[in-house]
Amino acid sequence: MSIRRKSNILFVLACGFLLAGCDAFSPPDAEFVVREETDQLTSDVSKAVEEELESSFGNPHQLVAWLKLPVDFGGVTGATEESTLEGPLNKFPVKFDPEADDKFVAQFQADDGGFNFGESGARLDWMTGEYAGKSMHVIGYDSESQQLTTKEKVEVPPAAGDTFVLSAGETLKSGRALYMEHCLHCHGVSGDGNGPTAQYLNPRPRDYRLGQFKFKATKPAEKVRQEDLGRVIKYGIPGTYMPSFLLLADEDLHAIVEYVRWLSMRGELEYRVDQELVLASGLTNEIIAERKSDGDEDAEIQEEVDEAVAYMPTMFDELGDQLAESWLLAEEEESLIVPAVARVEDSFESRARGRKFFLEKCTNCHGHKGRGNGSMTEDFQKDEETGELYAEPGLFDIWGNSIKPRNLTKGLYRGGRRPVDLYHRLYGGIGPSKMPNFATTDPKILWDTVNYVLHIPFEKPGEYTEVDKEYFESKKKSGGDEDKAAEQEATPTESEQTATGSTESSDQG
Amino acid sequence: MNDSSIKKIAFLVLLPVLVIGLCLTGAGCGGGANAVTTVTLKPATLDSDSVEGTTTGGGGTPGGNGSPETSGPGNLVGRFIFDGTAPNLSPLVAKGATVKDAEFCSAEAVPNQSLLVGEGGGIANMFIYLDKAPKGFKPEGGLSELVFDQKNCTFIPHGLVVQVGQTVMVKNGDGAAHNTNMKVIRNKSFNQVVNGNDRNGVPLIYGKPEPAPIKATCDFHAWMGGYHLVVDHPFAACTKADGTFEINNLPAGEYKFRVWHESVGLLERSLKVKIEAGKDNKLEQTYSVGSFSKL
Repeated sequence: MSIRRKSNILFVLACGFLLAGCDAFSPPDAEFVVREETDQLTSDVSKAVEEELESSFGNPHQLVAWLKLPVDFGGVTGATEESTLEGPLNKFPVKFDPEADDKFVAQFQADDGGFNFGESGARLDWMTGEYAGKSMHVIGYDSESQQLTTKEKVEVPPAAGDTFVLSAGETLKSGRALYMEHCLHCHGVSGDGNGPTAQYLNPRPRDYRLGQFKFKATKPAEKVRQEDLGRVIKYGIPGTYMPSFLLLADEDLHAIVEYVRWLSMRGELEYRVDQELVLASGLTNEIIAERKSDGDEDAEIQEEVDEAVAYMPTMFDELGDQLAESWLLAEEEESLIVPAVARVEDSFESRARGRKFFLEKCTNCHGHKGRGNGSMTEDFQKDEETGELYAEPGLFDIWGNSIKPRNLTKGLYRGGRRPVDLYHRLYGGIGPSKMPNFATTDPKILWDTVNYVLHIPFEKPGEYTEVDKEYFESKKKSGGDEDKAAEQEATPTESEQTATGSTESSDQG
Repeated sequence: MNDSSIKKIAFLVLLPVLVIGLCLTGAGCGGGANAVTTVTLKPATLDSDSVEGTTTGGGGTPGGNGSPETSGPGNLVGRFIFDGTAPNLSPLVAKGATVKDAEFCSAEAVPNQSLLVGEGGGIANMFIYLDKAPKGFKPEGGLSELVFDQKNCTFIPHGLVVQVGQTVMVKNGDGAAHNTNMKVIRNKSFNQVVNGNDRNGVPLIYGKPEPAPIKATCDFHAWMGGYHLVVDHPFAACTKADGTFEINNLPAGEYKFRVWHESVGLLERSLKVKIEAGKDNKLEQTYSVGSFSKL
């Protein structure tokens, strides 16, 4: 055989293997991650949790839109009008909800003015009335009589006012596809911040599953708003790997925000169910083994397990209600941080007041020059979960990552660089990072502090020497030795005083 | 190499690449952004047939605790005793130590209260409680106001029993501000600055019972710790310095009590106690060092 023929044959074989291989080695179906705590539950209970989660949220390929949750799942909503037709019939006069009208047109109107519902028709889910819970397929729409035509025929026409959703779940599906494309590689399929690239990133991507987010404009105890999440996605988080997605269309951004909220609700529900089953009921393998060795009877424990399994749908229902309530509350006006006064004008006097506040409240973490090297970065903190000290000194966030207070000299503000963004950080604190909130502080002082902080990157050496001296003298009058060290740190060294505007100096960097 | 063999090699390299390309786009390579997804709807409210049991205020499994009878109430009076030598725990902050706000925080040594044994071996700050209200219990109103104070950078009292809906005034007896942060589980977060010398206090009201005592911390002074037991009934107590406690007006019947101590967690998950009407039912439990194995 000539070389040419051999190589041709080899080539054909190679193609064959490639094509076959592509089928045999297609990537596995995406799956939602199960929490460690769920795994540690005794097997009957942990299976019940996973089954209930699957029935309430589905898996990444077969999504379940749980209507209890305040997520915009999408679809065109509407209600039927009075019908004079008699059965068997498949034409229903309908009126779409005001916001849904445009959606209907956008989704189903064809170029020629007619309506196209696809080959198998668009799914219509009845929400209330005679056919509640049942689905039909819409195959036509007559805009003159405003009647939908369905594939299925019914004997009795639905009553006037029966509500339905056409093509339910569109937004969720679209959000999922966009999330898989743009977000999954860092944030993971389940939104656990553990996607394939996450291990290489510092800070790590957000784990949505505790239902807590850092950069929000709501009061300290409230959840994040859709708008806050939208801002983060649009503008990114400077100083981290979270990019800006300004080029996304508005409806795409909305779909992603809803999907992220949905993932967060799923994650937090599993988290809270685990908390109940571990802390209230004690149904982990470890605790049950301990109880058995202490002499508790198997039958008694099995009874508790059976009770918990039977109660699972109700527990999910209750916790779902609580979650829905807290997410809805975040969107209310009362949850929004609105500065009580307009921004105090930026001036040296304002910044001096801000500096005093900073010295009083902020230097423990942010350091006396705002470099993020305060004394708490050197102390060993206690892990609230285990009660033990962390192995490393410094601060830790609620996800267990080692974090540093912001170095304010860099002028990089992760939650946004508008003055009001900084106001939100001060008023609301950053719960997950343990930054305290100053909701009870005079709003004028908060603005003074905002002015001071915004100016730190442009500070001249020795600019606040007098202010600092005054502050420490007033503290001395009321006692307090430990501030001596702080005072020395705050006083500029000789080399600093003669420096020509550089903020780098020979003392702590 | 001559022209035609270069062409051959190029050909042999390029076509497989093309095939891979076709493969990936055409076959779709399983899941990912282009896969077909379905959405099913789950109704917002549960079917009435699948609702199991009656619910309690905070979640967890249904049903009330114990089987109360109708013969009237009794009291549970008891004591927890430590068998062995009490541990001598060094203070969390030594007197005069260089700490934040030393003027208030190290004027006196801050004691380590994680296992306090009083005169005669009584264990202080032990929580004894019903994890769920007794069956048929209805809360009455008229709960008094409680005080949770901070003095010398220590919480006073160290352990506090709070009922759902009861107002706790968090006060500050030090000149420096404290940031009281309750490590809630079911409740909404309480993370508030309490200004120096605030004798009016900041109100704290819990909406749900907590499954176990929760810790009170201060974000400014990391050594500070205290505990709140939040219950939706009055049948809970925290032992005094001498290890004694009293739970009054328990409907007669059989109950399972939980006993919890901060140094070890749950000492008893279901301590069976029988309450007889019209008398002080006595309970005395002794625990040795071995039970506090975490220390």
